[in-house]
Amino acid sequence: MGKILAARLARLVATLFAVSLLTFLLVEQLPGDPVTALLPPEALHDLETMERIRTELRLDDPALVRYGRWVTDALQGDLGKSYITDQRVADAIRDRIPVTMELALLATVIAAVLAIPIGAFSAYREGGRFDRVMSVFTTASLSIPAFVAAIFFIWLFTLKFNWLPSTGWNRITDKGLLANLKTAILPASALALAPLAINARLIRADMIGTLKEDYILSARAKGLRSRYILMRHALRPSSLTAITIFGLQFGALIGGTVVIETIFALPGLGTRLISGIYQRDVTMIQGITLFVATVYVVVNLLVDLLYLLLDPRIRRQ
Amino acid sequence: MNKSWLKIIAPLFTVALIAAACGGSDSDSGSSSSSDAASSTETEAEEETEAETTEKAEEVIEAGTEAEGDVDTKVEAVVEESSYGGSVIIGLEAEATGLRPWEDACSSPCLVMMKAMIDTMVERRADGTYGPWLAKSWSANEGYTEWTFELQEGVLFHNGYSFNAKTLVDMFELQKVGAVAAGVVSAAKVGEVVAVDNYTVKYVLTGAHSAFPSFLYGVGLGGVFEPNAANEDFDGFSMNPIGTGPFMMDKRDLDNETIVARNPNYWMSDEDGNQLPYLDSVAFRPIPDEGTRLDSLLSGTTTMMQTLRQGTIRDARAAKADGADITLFEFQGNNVGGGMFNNSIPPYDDVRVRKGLTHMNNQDAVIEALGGTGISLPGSQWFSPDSPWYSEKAAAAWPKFDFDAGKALVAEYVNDPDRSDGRAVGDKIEVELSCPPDPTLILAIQVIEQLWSASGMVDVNLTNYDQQTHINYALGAPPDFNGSHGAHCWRWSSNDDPSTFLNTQFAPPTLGIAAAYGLDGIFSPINFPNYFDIEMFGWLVGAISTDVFEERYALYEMVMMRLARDVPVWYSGHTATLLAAETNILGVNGWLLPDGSLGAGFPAAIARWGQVFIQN
Amino acid sequence: MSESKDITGSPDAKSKGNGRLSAVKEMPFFVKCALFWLVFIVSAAIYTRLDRLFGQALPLQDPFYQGFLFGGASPVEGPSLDHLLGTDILSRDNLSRLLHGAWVSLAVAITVVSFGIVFGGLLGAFVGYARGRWETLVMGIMDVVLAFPPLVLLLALVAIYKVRSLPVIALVFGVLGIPTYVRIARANTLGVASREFVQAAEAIGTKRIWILFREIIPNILPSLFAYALINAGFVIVIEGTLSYLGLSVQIPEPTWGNMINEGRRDIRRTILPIFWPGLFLTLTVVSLNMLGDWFQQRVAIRSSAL
Repeated sequence: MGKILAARLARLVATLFAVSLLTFLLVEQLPGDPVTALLPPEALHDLETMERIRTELRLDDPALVRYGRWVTDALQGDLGKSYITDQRVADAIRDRIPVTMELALLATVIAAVLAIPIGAFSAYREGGRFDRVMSVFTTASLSIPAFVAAIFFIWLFTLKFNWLPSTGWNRITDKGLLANLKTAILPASALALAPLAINARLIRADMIGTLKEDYILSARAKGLRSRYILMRHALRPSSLTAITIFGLQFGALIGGTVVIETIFALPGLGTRLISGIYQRDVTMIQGITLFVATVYVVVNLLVDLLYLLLDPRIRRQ
Repeated sequence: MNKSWLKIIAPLFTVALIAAACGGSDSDSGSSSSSDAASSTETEAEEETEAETTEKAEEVIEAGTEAEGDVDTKVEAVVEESSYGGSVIIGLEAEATGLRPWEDACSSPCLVMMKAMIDTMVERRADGTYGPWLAKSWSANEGYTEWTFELQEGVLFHNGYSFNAKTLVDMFELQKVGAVAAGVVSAAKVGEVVAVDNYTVKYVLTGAHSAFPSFLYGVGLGGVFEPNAANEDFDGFSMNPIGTGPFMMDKRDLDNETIVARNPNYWMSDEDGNQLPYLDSVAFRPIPDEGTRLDSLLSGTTTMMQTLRQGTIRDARAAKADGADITLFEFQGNNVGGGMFNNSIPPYDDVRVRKGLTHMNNQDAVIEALGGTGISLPGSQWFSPDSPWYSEKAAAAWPKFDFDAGKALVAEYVNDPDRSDGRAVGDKIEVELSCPPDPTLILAIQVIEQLWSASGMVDVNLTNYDQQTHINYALGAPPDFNGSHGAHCWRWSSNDDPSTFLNTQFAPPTLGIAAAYGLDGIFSPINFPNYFDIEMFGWLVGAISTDVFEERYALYEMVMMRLARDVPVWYSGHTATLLAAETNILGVNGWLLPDGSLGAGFPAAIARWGQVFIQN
Repeated sequence: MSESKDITGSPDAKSKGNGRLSAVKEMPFFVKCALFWLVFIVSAAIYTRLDRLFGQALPLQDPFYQGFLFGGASPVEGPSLDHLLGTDILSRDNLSRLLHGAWVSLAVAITVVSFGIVFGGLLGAFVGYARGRWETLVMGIMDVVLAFPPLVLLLALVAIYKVRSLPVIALVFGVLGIPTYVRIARANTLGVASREFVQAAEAIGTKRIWILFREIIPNILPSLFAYALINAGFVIVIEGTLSYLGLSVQIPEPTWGNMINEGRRDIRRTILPIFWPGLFLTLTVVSLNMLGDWFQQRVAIRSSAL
């Protein structure tokens, strides 16, 4: 077990190293003079200022040296400063994490919570009407692009019914949980559609397999009620797959909230990244990309470890 | 002659760039070049009501369709009784990335925020003249090279420091090298700022400028900030500006909400002696999406909103007609959308091409495609029909939509064996039409592309670059700063004195040209169209040597006529702007200057907060 | 039935036998509809390309012609004889734009799928069979590519490098899609490599590379193909997202994503300009998913028969 952990950690470090290098180089290779992209246009006339900044930022150093400096700073929590907003990148990320995290978490939870009953019941009544209807629903849910769903939700719930706000974000610390949920529910639902469908299908497939197992048969023979069987005996083995999937989905969602945040004008990592891209805010793009990739990789690792811990079959090895 | 010219001349860049290039327009001494693309820096809107659709069903758009009457909301004094208390939440177009008036680019949405905390030296009156604000009065010497200002007394900054002549001297040290202010300093030709006594300050100019006070209207040079705080924490000031304004920074949650709270020591009181401001606080919410910004207002999530898009104005009007409880404050000033040609490269260096393409540009179709029919007026010069500088002659002279005339001109060029782009007779001309990826502009350039291609003689290549790159292309690189653009979306003009934007815009574009006319050293890298006419330049210089209105009017009219003859730039429609508020919010319209005169209202959808109140 | 021919486990995928047509006949109704829709989309894409080739000579409205400029239509018209699905904001024919837009989505999907199956499949099969250091290296690289949130990477690439040509965008998508195919190919190869017929071949001294191409790859192709169908749907959505953000091919080229973007601002008045491209996008992805599912079920049936 310890050896596996060590090996995984080593891979994680190697992956992060490569990710950070790639991110750095990707953004550094901006066509044209990097200083031009870093300064506000107002300052571009002044060659002396540009030279001064170039020396200050030590931009004349070779790329690898600058990369090394960036990484060592990053390890200490310093991701540099945005040249557009003068804000520390780490601060910007810290301010926005709660929004993106909550969004990803809420979407994962919605997808999980709704998928379990749908998947379980479809498995239980395999081939029945519920199963067939749900099958159509999940395929559709899987296929509608999140941004199309988001626009549709806004049209329906804000423009037509005026039940929910279509923009902005109420922080829990400011306005309480209910207000926060009002602003979070539409974007999270749009994000949850695809994971929900995937989860429901997986749980269904898994449970169909489980339900055919012998021990279920013996439980039934013992006279246990169906629902009881469903919950206690069939659900648990599937939960292993489920947890793995949920974890992976959460990790993927962290990087996938970009368009939804833009549509709903949420102050999350996604909107900051997009405006950073449009403004050529080099340090911000590097910082956010690195952060998101790190979270993704770490979450994957944690899920792997969790899987190892939970799956008795593997533990025994 | 090396880098010194850069230091003196190049910062001119800032003024015209900022005032003209992108966004909200009104004398904004900052452009939103650093705001995101969603912010409508080019603010042309999109759709059309069903009514217009059925009307125009069979008809091909004719040239010269007029907007239905004057769309501006009348500026008139407030009659209702004011009352203290309450809070306004306003939805803005974009987030302000920095709030340092001398250093951070600031256009309409940013100014709404900044002007709550930063006062300016002068303000503009409803009649277009400049009146007292932090500067009580002023006078100039004979040659318009020395301007002396008397300052308001007893004014305190938010951090307790006192505002006096020394403040302005200290401010000037920062403004001289400020990313934004340096350009204004150049354009205004300020040499030094001298404290004559505690409450009298003198601006010494290096050249005559008869309209100097107008430079102290914009926040770049005229925005009064506390220099000690700025020097102590240069970066922090951007998030927490210290000024003399009616409100102070309370909370700054970037991209979500910024709140300012009442300044209990504000220097201004209303005419009855009640100390301003009336409101307890103002909350600013950046909501880049137009539709959701309007929805927020209609659903009560916000109580005010601004927009610079025609489509949203149309929607707001429709909502109001449907019974929404809102007041609309519309304004359409001089700022006009459109674009420019890079007059220094073929084929745009030939007036036949420029004029031909402009004749083929169906202004009304472009405006209609953007949903502005009846809202936005087609432009023919740098002044709107409401402006005292507007000229009927110039309007008539502008090459209006005449497709066949345009085709004929372009054909002349195409069939000219000596054509400047060196191609064979009969070959199409190649045009690169570029606009930032603003959703409304994307529609506009597709219309223009269709029009130009339909002539059969133009090969149009559409490109979109992000705002910053778009500007960089037009700017170019030293030493000539010619730019590599072709036909480039741009915005022109503002409601300030014409000299503030015209002189830098049309100064010699390169040193070589300057030298050729004996104007050594006078060159403007921000002459983006790279167009220069020595006669026109003479008129522009003349207009700042006199303060007689009729003389200046005649000179500016000649300038506009010359632009109509040489067509270095083109226009689509004037920028329509709107502030919408719940009906119980008053004081947005009809605020007064300290001398009792009526202020200029809400140009470019910028609200002034000092006299806003909520009616019970 | 066709299954009886496949005792050895070699699937239909490569052999274009009589298995195919009867397979189509066996499809449930909805899957048949899905196939029909995909055929329609592919035909539309090809037809519009030909139309362009012949200078808009074929019967179909010009997707760029703005009727309100020179006559013939006005903005946001309802359906009519001339314009079966009405017109958009700039009075261009909706149907034509939708059909022309199919090409971009399709091109990107086909590129990704081809890259994935060919390069990803080969690479994955190779490392899955060869194991050892190659495997560690390649899978490590795949991990790195997979660690990037795809949308973020694409945004950065497209926005910063301003690549707007369809070939380049498709290429970028293609390269980014390879890792998952590698993973699937490798996983399947590991399974197949332990099968008796492979071990038998090794025992009699067949060259490994021969085994790779004759025994292993044909057996992993079905799962790859099943995944490819689903991946195609996913890629089409991503391309739609990118073009919604204005970061795909250059205007005035119509794509379903940028049609949704343009239609969005009319949303207070009418949802139709968004509805049609949204519908086309969704139906295409649904069809791919349904077909992918169905195919996956057949692959599962077949491999469980082994």
